[in-house]
Amino acid sequence: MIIDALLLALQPSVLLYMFLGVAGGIFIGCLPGLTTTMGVALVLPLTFGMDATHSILLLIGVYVGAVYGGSISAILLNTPGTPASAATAIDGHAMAARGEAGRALGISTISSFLGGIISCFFLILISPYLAKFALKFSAPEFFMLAVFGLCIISSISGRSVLIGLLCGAFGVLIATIGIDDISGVARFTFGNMNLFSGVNFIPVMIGLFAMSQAFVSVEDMMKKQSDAKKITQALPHKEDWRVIFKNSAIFGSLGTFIGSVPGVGADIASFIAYGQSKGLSKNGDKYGTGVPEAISAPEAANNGVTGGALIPMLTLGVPGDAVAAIMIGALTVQGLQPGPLLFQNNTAIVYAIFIGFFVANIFMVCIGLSSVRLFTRVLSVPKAVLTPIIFLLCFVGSYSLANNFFDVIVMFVFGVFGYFLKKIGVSPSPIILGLILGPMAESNFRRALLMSRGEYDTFFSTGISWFFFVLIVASLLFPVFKKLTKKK
Amino acid sequence: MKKGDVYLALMFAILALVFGKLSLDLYSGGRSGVGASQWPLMICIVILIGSILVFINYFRNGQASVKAKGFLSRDEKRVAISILTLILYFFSVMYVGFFVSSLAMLFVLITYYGNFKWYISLICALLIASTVYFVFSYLLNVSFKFGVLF
Amino acid sequence: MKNKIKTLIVSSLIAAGMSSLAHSAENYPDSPVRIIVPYSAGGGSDSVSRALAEALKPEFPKGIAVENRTGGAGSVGMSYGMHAKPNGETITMVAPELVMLPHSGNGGDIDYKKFTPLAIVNSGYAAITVPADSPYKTLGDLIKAAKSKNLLFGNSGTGSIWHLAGVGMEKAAGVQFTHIPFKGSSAAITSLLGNHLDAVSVSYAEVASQVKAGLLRTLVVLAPKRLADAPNIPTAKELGFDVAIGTWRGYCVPVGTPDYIVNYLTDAILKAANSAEFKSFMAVSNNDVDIIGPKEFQEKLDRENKFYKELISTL
Repeated sequence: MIIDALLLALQPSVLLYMFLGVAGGIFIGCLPGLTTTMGVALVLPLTFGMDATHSILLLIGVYVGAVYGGSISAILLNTPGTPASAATAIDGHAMAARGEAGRALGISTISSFLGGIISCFFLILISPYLAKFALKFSAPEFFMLAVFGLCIISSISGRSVLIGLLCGAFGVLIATIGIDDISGVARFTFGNMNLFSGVNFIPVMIGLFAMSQAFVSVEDMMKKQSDAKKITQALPHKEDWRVIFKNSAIFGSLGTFIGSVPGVGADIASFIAYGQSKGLSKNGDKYGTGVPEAISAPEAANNGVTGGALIPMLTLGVPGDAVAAIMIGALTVQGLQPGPLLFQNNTAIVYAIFIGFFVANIFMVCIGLSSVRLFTRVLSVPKAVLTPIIFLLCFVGSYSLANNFFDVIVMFVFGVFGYFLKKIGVSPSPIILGLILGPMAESNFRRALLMSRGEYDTFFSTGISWFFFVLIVASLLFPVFKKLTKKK
Repeated sequence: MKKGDVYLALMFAILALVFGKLSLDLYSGGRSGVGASQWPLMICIVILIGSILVFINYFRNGQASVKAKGFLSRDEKRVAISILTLILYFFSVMYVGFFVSSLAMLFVLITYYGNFKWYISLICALLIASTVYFVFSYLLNVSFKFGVLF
Repeated sequence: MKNKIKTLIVSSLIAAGMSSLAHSAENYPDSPVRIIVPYSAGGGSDSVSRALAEALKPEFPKGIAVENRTGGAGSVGMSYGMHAKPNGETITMVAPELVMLPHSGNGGDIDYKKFTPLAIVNSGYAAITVPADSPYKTLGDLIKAAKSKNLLFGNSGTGSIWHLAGVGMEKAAGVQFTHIPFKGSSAAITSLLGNHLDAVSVSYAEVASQVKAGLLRTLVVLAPKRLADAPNIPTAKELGFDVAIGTWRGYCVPVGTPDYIVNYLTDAILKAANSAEFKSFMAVSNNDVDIIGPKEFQEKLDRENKFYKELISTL
């Protein structure tokens, strides 16, 4: 059986497709506005003419590449290519700005790789158990998870937690625009059809991070470009390796677990990893200034999600995230039914997916490490040329999400707003976190009450809810506790 | 607390008031009791309380930290001009066409920011615009049908 | 000299006019045609449309491509297609949302009367599905239980077609369920797999793989006749409840499109939908081919518009 799978997955043409997929995925992931989901969706029609192995492994290659690729632009240009790298940008760019772009890229590449490999092992070894556990999540547990995620705001809000909380609440409020999931009522749409499905958070993110960063570089245009852009090394420092291994092990597993819960994706995982690693790290206070832990943790987590997201798809036939949903489509087109029957009827292809997933991660680390120098070359492009390119990419990227001009306007408005935030030294990350987690918190809060017929004790009815409750209290009290002990 | 924080808080507070007022008019019933309006109302209240805290902090700690400076520095003026150029560019894309406008935008901004010879700027602009057009329109199948020109 | 220029201009104008006339009458697909799909890339509507576009290629030498314009449960894309120039260059994929959304006030300006229907290629009907270990073996059990206790009934979002299917069922049976809306069918199915719900009302195609694997059990399909790939599952009508609710995917052009273009497109779509490659794609991707011509399509729109208006007003 394994031999069959190896023969399937290691055909030269499959390897070539996967290699191209990973490279293409990295490229798509780099560009602001082209998300992982979009990348996979764009490749999907190409797979209709292929056989099942080629098709699914090409898509997996794109997936793995794109989740990693987002961190490259996040680190080099402070412009996360995908939402999953928004957390990486905080410290990754700070490190690159010190002139250590190569080191930052090295840390992110190795951590992504290790996160991916760990999730691959989980996928192979315990996916049925993880899937069963993930099914225990219902509305109350999702609500608790979302609130736990929102607690991260305190660790990403920069100089003032109060302002961070305000920004987070602003994000949550913006996310309520659109037709309400639960009641079907249109809220705050002002009759504008483009707002019916809400403010899409990808253009908001492009605006807040990429566009505003481009405005900042317009402002700094006349300053001499720092010479630190000469890349002295393309690999992590010796002392970084311990941090990388430790963080990848912890947060790669966390990412896999989060990915296996249907409906929770790489963006949430990387923020949670950032927040939690801050609590665990000795250098917690230095977060935001470019510490290796803060790059390694979110990157390991978001690539950990890639394997996790395949778990519900392979074991239950339900998608773990939007990308897995497309892969289910790709498999059904091939005449394969993802789900428990796939293990029984097409064991070879399941093992081929496992092997291919492993190989895709190896391709990723090879391409990543070998082209660190190439990537950092971006920094030697004169700002006078690079900045207009970023403007153009922000425009095209947000337009191509839905072929809708409205998204471009949203992007631009938030770009100007993000520039204002940068001027007064406020971090935009809490807004993104609020936008991502707000709807999850609200709809699950109300869904839980619908399911319990209005009984509030539903939020404390299971062990998982209690577990998250304890985590929430701990993460809120931990900084206070740390402060108190330090004063002694 | 910086002065910018106060502006930000003021902005958020106004937004919260508007959204709060709008959510009061929303249908709030439903079979569960928690309808469409409670959650946004709650968030609005959180924002209002937060903004008030920012105001209090600011006025208690004094306004001494404010640096007196001109309306816009030279560098900031460049940003303002860029923003205006981009707005113009958006309209131009809609009514004239994507490729031509992008080419013009790139050329104008590159010339404005850098001090290259004009033909170098033009070549850069041409190269970038064609690459982006090719990648998105042909490889990624994005439709750029807007204006009269292409 | 002046005269010469004048005649030149006039003659070239005439030539241009002639050629544009000739253009329109005979060689209609003289430029690329796009199919607006109001749902996101990679979803069911998208893949069906892409497969159809593939089968249509021989009829459109200048090319035919799918363009996704998402937002507002489909209203953004449908409105875009509705306002497109009626010259046959823009075809819009429409779904029952075209006649549903306006009644719940979430449709923006979409209006099915502003479309000329071409053809429907596919339809899928609602099914009521319970976990495999559920005590409810038949629809009768479920209805009986619903009379004494409140059953949790998952669907794909308030006001969505599968929510209306659940409502239609409860109306027909004279009971009340507690409807739990999710964001999309798969979230509802996942919750059902975790035993957090008593039943879901989504399309049969979406639960088919779990039903075949023995994780879920479909009690009834709300279809006019038994489904080809699930011949053992009874229809609601057989069990004495007159309710049939389902989705379909059809193609339209804006009102005012010249007749010869409408005819050309209709013929092309009907031919493509009957082609072997399209049919085999539909079979493997769990979609039922259901071909309906323009006249019946128009009647279906009128009928469903009235039906959903009534159903939504009772929500």
